[in-house]
Amino acid sequence: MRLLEYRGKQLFARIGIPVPRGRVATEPAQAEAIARELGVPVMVKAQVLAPSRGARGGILPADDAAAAAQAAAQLLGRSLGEEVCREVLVEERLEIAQELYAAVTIDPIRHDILFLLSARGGAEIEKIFAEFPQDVIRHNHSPLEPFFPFHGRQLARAAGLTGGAVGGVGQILFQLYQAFREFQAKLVEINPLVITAKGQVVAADAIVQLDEDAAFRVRALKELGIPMEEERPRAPTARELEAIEIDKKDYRGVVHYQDLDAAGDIGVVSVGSGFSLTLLDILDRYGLHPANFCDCSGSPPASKVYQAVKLVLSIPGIRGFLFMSGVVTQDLTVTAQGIVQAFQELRPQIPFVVRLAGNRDREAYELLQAGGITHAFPRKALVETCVEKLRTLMREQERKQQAAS
Amino acid sequence: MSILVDANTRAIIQGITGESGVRFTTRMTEYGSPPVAGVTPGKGGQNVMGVPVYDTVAELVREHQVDFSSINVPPAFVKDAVLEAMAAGIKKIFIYAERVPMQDEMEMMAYAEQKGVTIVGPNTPGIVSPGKFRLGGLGGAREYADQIFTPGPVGLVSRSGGMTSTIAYYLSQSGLGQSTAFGCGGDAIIGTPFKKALELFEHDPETKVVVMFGEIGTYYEEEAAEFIRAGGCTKPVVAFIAGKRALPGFRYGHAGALVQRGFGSYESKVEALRAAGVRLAATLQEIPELVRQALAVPQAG
Repeated sequence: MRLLEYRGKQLFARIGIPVPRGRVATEPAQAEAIARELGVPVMVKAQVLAPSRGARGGILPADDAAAAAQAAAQLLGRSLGEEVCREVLVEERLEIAQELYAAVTIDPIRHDILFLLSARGGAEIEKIFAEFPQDVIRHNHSPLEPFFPFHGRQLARAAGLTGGAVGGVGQILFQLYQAFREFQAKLVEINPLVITAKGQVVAADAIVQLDEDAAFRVRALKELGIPMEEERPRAPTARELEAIEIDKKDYRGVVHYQDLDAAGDIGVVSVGSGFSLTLLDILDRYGLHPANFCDCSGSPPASKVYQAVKLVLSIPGIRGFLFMSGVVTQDLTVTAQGIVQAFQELRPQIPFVVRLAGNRDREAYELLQAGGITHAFPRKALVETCVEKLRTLMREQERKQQAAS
Repeated sequence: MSILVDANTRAIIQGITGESGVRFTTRMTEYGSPPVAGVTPGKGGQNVMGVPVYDTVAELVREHQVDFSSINVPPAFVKDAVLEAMAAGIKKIFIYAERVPMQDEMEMMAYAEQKGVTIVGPNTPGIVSPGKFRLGGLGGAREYADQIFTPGPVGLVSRSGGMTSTIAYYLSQSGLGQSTAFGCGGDAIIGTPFKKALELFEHDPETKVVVMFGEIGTYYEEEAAEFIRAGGCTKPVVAFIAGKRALPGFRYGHAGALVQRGFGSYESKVEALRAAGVRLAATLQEIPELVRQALAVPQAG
């Protein structure tokens, strides 16, 4: 879960990492008051997770309180990428002498702790990574060895820093490591890490990605009122929100739903995340276009399966429906009951193909047949066979409709 | 032979009185490979289906020889339980739980490497050497498990728990049994990823061909490709990689983009494996076909 900048800075401040003075505002008048209180030129920064916030005009300078109100009015409610800006951070403007880059994360290959430090940071960082990777100092650290400030100073020297910056940046790296450990983060990143005209080292930005699975032990999150939310690449759609509700109402099993291609014309429910991913690829292989992804697994009760099927059948414009499992251990008679209930209630007029395999699949198959589902398949039918069948049925229906019109 | 477990494996369950601990005990017992003992703090002296329970692993190992410990405790307590097993000298550890904190995983793997311990998981349903030993409940009730997992020459390793059974069933339907089939775990940090699995299968005389199910994300498939190219696995390998039609993901900061440059995508994995001579299946039904082809080709050397 990634945090907004001001949340990240709140966490940094608890470790003692210097951050600019400032507060978050949800209305222009509030932004004005904060700027007046600070009494110095400020930056007004949109609180969104979208990358390249600065380049998209999400960061505005304001010389006085009135300008801060204006900047806030300009940003609040505005869309940046897929997100709408609901909060702005109003903070003192730094006198920048140098912009650096620093990060601590888990090395995705070695699975130890990876430190990154570059004496050049800021908006150009992507270019530096791509064109001057040797300028980014990388240091791998065993999770079983403590990291001390002297390690940080060594890295600062390796990055070519001199004078007061050696101790200042070394200390920040030590604190960044502390933040990484204490908040059980997957990533803590500062870009830019600013050295001010007066020689202070200040975190001008904060990118913090937390581990949802470790949040229960991070007391600071509760104390600061930071909610743990599931990370999504964009704002959830109405059906995605409905799925979240379905999932929340009953703790048994999961319904993990995502809308896919708007041009997709097949509604899909599948059992198990690995299998669901595989099924999308197989559909693609057969030239079929799923409209959604819906993993309904982990032994959900029949009522949850029923709701998932109904939700998927509500996708406008779908011309076929597929419910499919790999070989699973959940009791499939329960799954079958949910499918039959939705089928009988809605009587869908589109091809409706079901294949269940695994625990009690024979009984499940009988339930599906007794429930009037003509295109139910037993375990022995391959996934590919069922997908092909759906394709054939959809083509037949299309021909019939064309003939009728 | 087989890898990780065989007919003589002596396994214990930490967290044996919990929901998954009891389920593991039931499934393993009906398979004819019951755990020799279990641990639940505060429940020493009790038993689960006749399997004795101890308060600590240290007490257990005074009474029993142990090859493998299955960790069936909630995610928050996994690291502690794993360290307890290692402290008692157990050399193979299986972790069932999903949602284990990532920094705990990072630390456990570092300890395991230091102590020469093999960890399988986290986030996996089990290991089965068909007809010999089942750790966990892969395949469910025995009646079904015996139709899904059959003995034979195929080593099967999968990042998805569900796909372990699904692919084993495809293989068994085609008359291709398995030496050992296991879920290596769905998390970003796991103890026995493909590279290590290939190394184990390479040294197992019963295994003639390896099937791996990979997914987008992580470096594990690319690492396996490097290992094969370096000559670490001379047996034929068949792979299915899921996630070609991946769901849109989030980009995590600049560090993620930097350190993950050039790997993790569907294309990166498929290209790396293909360059290493791995046979890639585009559908599930191609897997048994490719295995059959691989078995028909006489082994080089």
